[in-house]
Amino acid sequence: MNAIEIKGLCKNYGDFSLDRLNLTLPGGCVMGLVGENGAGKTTTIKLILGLIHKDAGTVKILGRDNSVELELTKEDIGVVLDEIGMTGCLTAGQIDRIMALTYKRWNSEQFFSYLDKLSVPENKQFREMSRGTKMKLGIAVALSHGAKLLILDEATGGLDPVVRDEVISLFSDFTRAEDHAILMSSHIVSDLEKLCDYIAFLHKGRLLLCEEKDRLYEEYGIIRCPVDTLESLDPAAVVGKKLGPYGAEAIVRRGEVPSGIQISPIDIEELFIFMVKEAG
Amino acid sequence: MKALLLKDFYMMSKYCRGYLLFVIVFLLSGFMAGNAFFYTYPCFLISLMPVSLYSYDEREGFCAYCMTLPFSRKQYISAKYLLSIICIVSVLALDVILYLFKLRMSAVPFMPEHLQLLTVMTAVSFIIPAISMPLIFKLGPEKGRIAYLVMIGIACAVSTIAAGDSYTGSIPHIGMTASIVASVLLYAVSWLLSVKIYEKKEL
Repeated sequence: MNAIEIKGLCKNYGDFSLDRLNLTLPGGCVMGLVGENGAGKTTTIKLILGLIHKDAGTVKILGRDNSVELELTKEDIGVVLDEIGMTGCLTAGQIDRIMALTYKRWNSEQFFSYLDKLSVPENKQFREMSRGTKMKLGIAVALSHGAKLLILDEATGGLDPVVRDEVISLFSDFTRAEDHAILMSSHIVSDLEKLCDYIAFLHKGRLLLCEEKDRLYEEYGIIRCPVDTLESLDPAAVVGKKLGPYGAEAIVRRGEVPSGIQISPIDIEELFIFMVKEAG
Repeated sequence: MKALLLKDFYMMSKYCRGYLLFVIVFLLSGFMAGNAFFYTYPCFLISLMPVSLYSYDEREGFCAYCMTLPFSRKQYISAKYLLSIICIVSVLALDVILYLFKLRMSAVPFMPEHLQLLTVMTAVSFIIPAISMPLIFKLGPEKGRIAYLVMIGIACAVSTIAAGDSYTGSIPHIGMTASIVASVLLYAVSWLLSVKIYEKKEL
């Protein structure tokens, strides 16, 4: 069963529109949603969660249409939003009591063990915490009610590299269960590279690419060569290029480049930047 | 729903201490001075508590976060209306107890005008949130408050002009019952309207 299945999703704001988005996150997988500011990542996540209303298209979460009894589906989803959204005056202890009345499968023991692991104070008010600690608390809530799907909007933003690494390994533990899936948006592509099976690029409300991460590494590479060498290549082989006074740098499709030209492995961030620049 | 109410009670205990202190001071002042204003004002004040809490919810991003939890929009709105009822009934009950105790201490019998005061308090306590909540859910806390004040101003002006010199200061029994029923009906209609408004809202 697919964790998320989006077909023909549209949302028009006048100055921005999400245009016929099709996206499938298979069960048990992790998908990273990459895009610059205003690309439509948060809009997509809000549409999935029913926070805003779609103009067209369908969204299925864990096999269920999100326009029907979404509150039941949400028992199986853990969400961390960019702004987190917890009530400022609450302490972690009070949040535990509230969540125990919210989720059928709330696990207090697990929640406090996450707080302990992530060094989140139990008696400090949420509004007095640093952004990183707030985010960690949000993550602890999302992981403590037996969710099968995590939806994370910039959940690693604002965390220092050490904590980010801890959080990434928590997400990694979460995905050990076969039926657990994660959809996460982030600007920090290195985090996505560590964790994701699938990468989706969003640009100006359009899906540029959605592919298995390993396929991306297999399919694309980067070449650094003189400009005339680049110009001799089949234009279809070149995904994106950057010309400089000392030569050219280009992302190419490995299979369409003649042998003899040295192709280096790409990282996802490079691929994204080249593709976005090419898309304009 | 219990979870949302518990959250609101935690918020009240932290954010609304000033409100609660006002309510207690006014209730005690009413008890000491025996002035009807001091008895009635806490009911009106407390009935607006959920509106204040909604302002905090919106500012802190809880409105969006809440909809990622297993709640429907209808449940969120219903919790606010239920909280308003709990607040109004609690303060009304305190009011009545203190009022009756005061009457007993002063050896004054319970008179029709006392019942009239209680009726007006109850009706107005329900009418205030019934009018303000849909406006605030529709327009947001800032614009909603302004729209509410404008509406109340218009309502007061119209009723004053309409009553003219004919107002005698007393309400017949049937009028008292009707005002309670009308305020409760208005409250129910307001709840339905707020649910509709909130279901269309983009969070």
